Amino acid sequence: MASVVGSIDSDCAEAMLPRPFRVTSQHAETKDTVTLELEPEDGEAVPFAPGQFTMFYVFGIGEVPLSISGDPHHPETLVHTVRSVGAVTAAIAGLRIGDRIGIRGPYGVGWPVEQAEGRDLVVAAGGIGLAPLRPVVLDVLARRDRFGVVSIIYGSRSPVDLLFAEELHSWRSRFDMEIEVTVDRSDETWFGDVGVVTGLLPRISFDPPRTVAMLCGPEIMMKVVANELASRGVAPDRVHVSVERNMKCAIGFCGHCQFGRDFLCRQGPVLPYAQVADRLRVPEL
Amino acid sequence: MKLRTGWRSRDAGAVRPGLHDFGPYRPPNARLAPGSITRNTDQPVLGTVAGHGGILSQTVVDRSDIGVLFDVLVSDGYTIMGPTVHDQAIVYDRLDGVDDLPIGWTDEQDGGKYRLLPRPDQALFGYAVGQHSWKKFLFPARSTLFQVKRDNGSLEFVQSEVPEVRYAFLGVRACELAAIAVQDRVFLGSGVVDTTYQTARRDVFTVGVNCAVAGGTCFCVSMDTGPRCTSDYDLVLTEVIDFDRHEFVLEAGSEAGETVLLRLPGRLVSDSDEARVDRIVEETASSMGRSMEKAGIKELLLANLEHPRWDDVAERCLACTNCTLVCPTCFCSTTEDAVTLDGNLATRSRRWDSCFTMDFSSLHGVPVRSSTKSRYRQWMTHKLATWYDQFGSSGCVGCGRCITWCPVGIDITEEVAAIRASQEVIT
Amino acid sequence: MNLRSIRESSELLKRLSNTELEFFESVSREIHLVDGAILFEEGSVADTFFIIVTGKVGLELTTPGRAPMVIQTLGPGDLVGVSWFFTPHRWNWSARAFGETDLVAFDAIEVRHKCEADRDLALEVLGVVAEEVVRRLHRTRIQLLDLYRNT
Repeated sequence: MASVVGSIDSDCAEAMLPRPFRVTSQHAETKDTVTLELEPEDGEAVPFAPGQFTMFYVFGIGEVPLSISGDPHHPETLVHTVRSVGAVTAAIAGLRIGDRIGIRGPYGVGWPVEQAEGRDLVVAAGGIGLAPLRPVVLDVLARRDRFGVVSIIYGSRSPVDLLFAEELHSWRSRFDMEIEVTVDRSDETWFGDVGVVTGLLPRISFDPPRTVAMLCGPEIMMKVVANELASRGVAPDRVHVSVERNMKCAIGFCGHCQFGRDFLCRQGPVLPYAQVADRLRVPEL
Repeated sequence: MKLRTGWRSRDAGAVRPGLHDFGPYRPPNARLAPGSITRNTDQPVLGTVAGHGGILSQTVVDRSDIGVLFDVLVSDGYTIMGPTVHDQAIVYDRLDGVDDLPIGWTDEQDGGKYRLLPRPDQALFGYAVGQHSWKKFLFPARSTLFQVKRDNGSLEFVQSEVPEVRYAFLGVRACELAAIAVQDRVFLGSGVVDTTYQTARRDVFTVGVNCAVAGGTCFCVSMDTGPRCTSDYDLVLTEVIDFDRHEFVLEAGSEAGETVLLRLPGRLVSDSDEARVDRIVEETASSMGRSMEKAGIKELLLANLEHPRWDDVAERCLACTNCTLVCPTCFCSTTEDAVTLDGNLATRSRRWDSCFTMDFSSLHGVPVRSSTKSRYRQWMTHKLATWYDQFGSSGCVGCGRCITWCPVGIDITEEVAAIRASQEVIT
Repeated sequence: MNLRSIRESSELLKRLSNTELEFFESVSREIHLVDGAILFEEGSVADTFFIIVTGKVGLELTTPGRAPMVIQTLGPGDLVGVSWFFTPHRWNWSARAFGETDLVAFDAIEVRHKCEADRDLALEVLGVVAEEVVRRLHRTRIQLLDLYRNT
């Protein structure tokens, strides 16, 4: 069999078998989102690249794809930030410390952090989309000198829906990174920006011809930001988006995650905007 | 058990691991793949594949002796699967002997129509294909993946055994050989191997049949998959019936086929036998029920994702999933979880799924493809267009099953033709 | 006041010819506001409009019994206020500075008079204002989609 760099060289039966993990920490980010830390029962860490995901199995209930939201330099702790949207994720959000679950992976093509080396980096997150981008930020901050201007823009529904609130504060106090946060609707406590996340682009100082952008959030948000970046002179093949679809196997067999010709579990979920712009315009593709 | 890590992230500039980048497909096992024989050029062997030159191992077996084929296969430890009549259709099931074949039957097929009719002769293989395909054995509709035992909170994952089987597929049409090759690419040729498929596939002995009858919905000629079996078989037979004879011209396509063929009672193949086979195949080829122009089909469909024809077909399509069930190359599956009542044992299994279901594209509880139109478009553009990008070939082998078994007779050849014809109109 | 230094960052000033820019300069003055200072109150007469130089301004609405709700924030280069251009020349929102903010304030009455005399200028200003309205409408619509809600 022809071998391929970076492929799983195993069989499907083995690849469909989860490894037992244990919940070691649980923290409510918002009323419906929880960050879990997990450790493998057999002690073998799961090295991952920013943007990759695992298939998270809850005993007897089911399995869902979850982006890894942890620090790629510390893979011994597997971190997932989960929003409760259905039966499985509701169960995951309800897990307690000590609970055991199953993990397969990591899977997928992640964020091209290497492309951003020597360039300016714009990280644009909407809602829960900050979770798959957090590993990029942590990776970049760990090797800060390799990158030019680093900016984060983050839009959330309202002030109570902001993820990683404490970390956002510490990021905001850094001098080597810009971060702007906005909400769609404010409350009495909020004195920050109000409005869509594209409104934050004029606030950050990136040089479009030498910028790489990574976007994650609802499709409409990614399209709007990508178009705005393009109109400012950022090359569409340097803008990367994370596309989401239903996944069952994560190894290219079940057919569910197809987005046009791409199996998002194998060619994605991160794809250059230039490659997906046309497809994102076709409703119900 | 150690699970190897998954795909590492790639440079955005590097080539993404497209499934079609995996190079030419090579069979997974050391055993010779049907249809290819390695040849020690110092010593000519008795037969080689057509095209390599040399003498093909052939024989002509009389109808009265064809039962020996069954005996030989059984004695070699095979379970023979093949066509048989059941519930007024020709299905694939276990065959215990020649008499289980649909002797003297043929099928009449058209859009949304299938019926069996008696033949004037007693042909064993005088029909096209029914609703079953060989994927039913290689990619079973249900299989168990693993079980999880829960004991005081801790989980133990136990991989399920893949049943060992040793099948002989008797009566595989050329389009079906092509379909098996297409599924080989999906399940064996893309970096992760499906062990269920591999285990069943590894020891399969294939007896192909050159079609003497073109089905009402067949278009293998358009898809370059038939009606003649040209590769990937162990044996191929052509049924010849005249007023004074009923025989089978057999040809070996592999070493395994050789060893079976040499144990069959037969006579030498003559030039007129070969000419007869050619004529039969030619006649079948010229009486196809359907045709489809496949040149440029990928570009045609992908450039017309919002063509009004999709709305048209959506009005007729019931999203019943029949087409995906009968299609020999459809491979989508889903996973299911079940727990015992005491809550200590969970089982995860895999079963067939269809892109036509509402659930298939469900994302956070809401389907991405909620309209029938989008789901029909997904199926057809995957089968005929994006399959090329993914697996290097078309997903369609021209067997016509989807046309026959669609309750409203939707015909993909017609749908493609309609889009093609309107190309000049839509700018 | 010399507007050339902020010309590039402002859609409105970018479009003006040098002569037109000189006119705007003649009806402008610099303003510095501390955190929380009000630019204008909802319902008051719109006879001044602003361009932010540095800092942030929030547009807010007050409802009885609640603290003011911010519906949009604007930053450097943004035009604060479009209602000055259209009758009845009254503000629909209040505007407040968030943090220390520098702005250029323009005499809206003078600008309106000038536009009545010079239709070309009027068209240019209308174009900029209209684009700004469209941009804000577009963004507001996306805000309304509530994209980040849990479905």
